[in-house]
Amino acid sequence: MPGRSSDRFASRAEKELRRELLVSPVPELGLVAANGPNDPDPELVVEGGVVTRLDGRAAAEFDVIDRFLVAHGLDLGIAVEAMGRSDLAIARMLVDVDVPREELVRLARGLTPAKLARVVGLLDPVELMFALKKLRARRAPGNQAHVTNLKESPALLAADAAEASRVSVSEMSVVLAKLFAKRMSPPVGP
Amino acid sequence: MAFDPATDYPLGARRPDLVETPSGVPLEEVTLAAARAGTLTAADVRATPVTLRRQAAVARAAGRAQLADNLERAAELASVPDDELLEIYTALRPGRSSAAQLEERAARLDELDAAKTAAFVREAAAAYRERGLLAG
Repeated sequence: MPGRSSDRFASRAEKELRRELLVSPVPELGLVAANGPNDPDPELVVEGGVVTRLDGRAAAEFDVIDRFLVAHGLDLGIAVEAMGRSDLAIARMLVDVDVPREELVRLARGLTPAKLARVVGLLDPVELMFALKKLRARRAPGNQAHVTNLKESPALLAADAAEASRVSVSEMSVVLAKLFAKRMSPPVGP
Repeated sequence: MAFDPATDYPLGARRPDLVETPSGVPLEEVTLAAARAGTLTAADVRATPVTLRRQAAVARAAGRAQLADNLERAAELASVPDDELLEIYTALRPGRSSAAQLEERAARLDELDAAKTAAFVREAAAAYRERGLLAG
């Protein structure tokens, strides 16, 4: 019936929550979690122990992150074997209780970012959660938190930190707003 | 007993006998009472290069090479004065330093027995040069 809506819908439309925008994926602009049409194809070329191509880029075009990754991230000793596995095979290993974490960590060190993205893109949210749990390095993860306050009082920060550790936050960083504010607004304010 | 990187982590809980402060105070004497009495200063509550190198060995034994490298650089930097550390941090921001200035920083780190960190700064300088991130 056009022009009519129930009070239930009318009152719901007034709620603050309704002003939030839901952003739909726009894959062609790169606004997508996985499997974007512009994502590069996985690629790794090693010549004489040096990476000459990575995910569609030649060494001369490497940006700072590519360079860092090639120098410090990729394990070239495992890369040929790891890159030789199919996306689907690795994705299935991630959700296979019979494949130990160690084996996945070993292989992951030889995978390029594009290859990792392809693998992860094959998993649905429940599978991702399973994989995440399986890949945890710790048996019992500790709670992590930032402690900060805008007043920058060392005593207050210490008290906040002590209180956080009392409520079982086992890992904590204390952040000062003056340092933090240069790049983003402080996360918490009194 | 010798240090075993495969089983001695966390050091504070498993091998407190190996942990001491930069001024040589053993871990068991780092207490609130000592701080109240004034025998413990803020400079005491810092990691020593030795402790950080042991943690690097733990990371390497666990197959975490990058974390181990990081902790080895931390061990080098533990004895670099705070002011200099902050200067280097700032100098490494994009567009802040010329190639010569970064080389000066690297040379200074070499002087301070921080060879791995010096190499890291030189690596950054090379990357900055290629990507147009140097000053000027």
